Amino acid sequence: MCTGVEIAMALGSAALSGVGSAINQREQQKNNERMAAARNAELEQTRQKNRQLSQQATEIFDQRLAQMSPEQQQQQSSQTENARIGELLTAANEAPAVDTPVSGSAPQLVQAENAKRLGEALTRSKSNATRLGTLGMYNQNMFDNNLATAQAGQKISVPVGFAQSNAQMLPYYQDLAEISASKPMSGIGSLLQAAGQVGGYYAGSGKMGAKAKV
Amino acid sequence: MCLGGGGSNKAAARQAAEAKAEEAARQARIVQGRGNIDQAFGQYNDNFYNKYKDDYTNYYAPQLEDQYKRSVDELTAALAGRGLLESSVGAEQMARLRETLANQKTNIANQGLDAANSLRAKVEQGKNDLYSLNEASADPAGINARAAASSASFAAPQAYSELGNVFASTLSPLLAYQTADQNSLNPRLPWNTGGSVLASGKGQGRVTN
Repeated sequence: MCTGVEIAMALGSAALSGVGSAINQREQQKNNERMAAARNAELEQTRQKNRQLSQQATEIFDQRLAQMSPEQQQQQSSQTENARIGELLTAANEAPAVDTPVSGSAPQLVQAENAKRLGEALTRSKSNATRLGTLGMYNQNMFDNNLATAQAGQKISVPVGFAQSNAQMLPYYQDLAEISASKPMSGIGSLLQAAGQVGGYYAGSGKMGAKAKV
Repeated sequence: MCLGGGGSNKAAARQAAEAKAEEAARQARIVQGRGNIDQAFGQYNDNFYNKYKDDYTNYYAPQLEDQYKRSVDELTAALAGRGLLESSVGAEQMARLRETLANQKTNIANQGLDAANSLRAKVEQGKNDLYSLNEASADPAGINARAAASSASFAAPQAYSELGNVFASTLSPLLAYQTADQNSLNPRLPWNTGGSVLASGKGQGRVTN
């Protein structure tokens, strides 16, 4: 038969073991929460950094895209065409170092005919230069666009590269943060659990009843 | 566990701090390296490409002028030989020669613009290659030396072909006439009638005993 002391001892031991288990569980849970918080903090820090980098890349892209809008392109084409035609007309209009040998004593009619033919020839040359300038505008425009896109791509590659690198490093940072945030168990819970088990064993062994009888 | 835990925590924290510092430094080196590349390539600006275009034009323009001068001389001789120098035919031929000159100058200017674009594309390619290298190495000191070397290589001279005979087509009918006249049994051009004017015996002379 169990004595009252044994029953009390058994109950006390069970309670002690329960409290120890609860403390252990609580400490483990707290630890898990700290580790999860540390991982999340690293994740958030990287996301914050990458958000800024993404914003930089987006701004560069948006700027380039705006330059490709129909209005901007039309304006650019017009400027390119004018510049190219201007260059070519300047070249076409350049007077030669030597002129055609028409003597000043040539009859008025001959001089007038020469001037007329020369004028017509130069008009055709100017027209040719203008048409060539207009034709060249397409390639020039394409070249300028490709160049600007390549340059924008180069600029974008920097924040994108940094963001990729940050993302690649994240798992390692998280692991290290987790290790850094984890705390060892205090041992109180385990101690109480062990004491409870010992108490329970002692209460159940009947030694306490024997002592009480003595 | 109780005793060792604190030590590993500190080691992990230190390792994380070091890794972050190294990554931040690497990214800073990339930014700095790009700055070095941009600085080295700063000489390749609009002025550089404009000068290149002008140099291109200046290389071909004198050749063209020289050809034009010779063509005018040849045409003048051919027209004068036929008595057409001061005629509507002569005026038309001279005007066409001048038109060819103006068109060729236009072409050279156009090619100069395209050549400048081509050079710019090559320079940009070199710059992009260096950007990639910079990101791979993240070593601004090394990339600085490479950028300087690479930018210098773009300044190396390039071989250019000489201008072909651009007035040939304008002169060819008259030159064909001259050749046909020369080969004719009854040539009409004075220099084909018996060699040079001096050799033909025409002009003034005096025989003394």
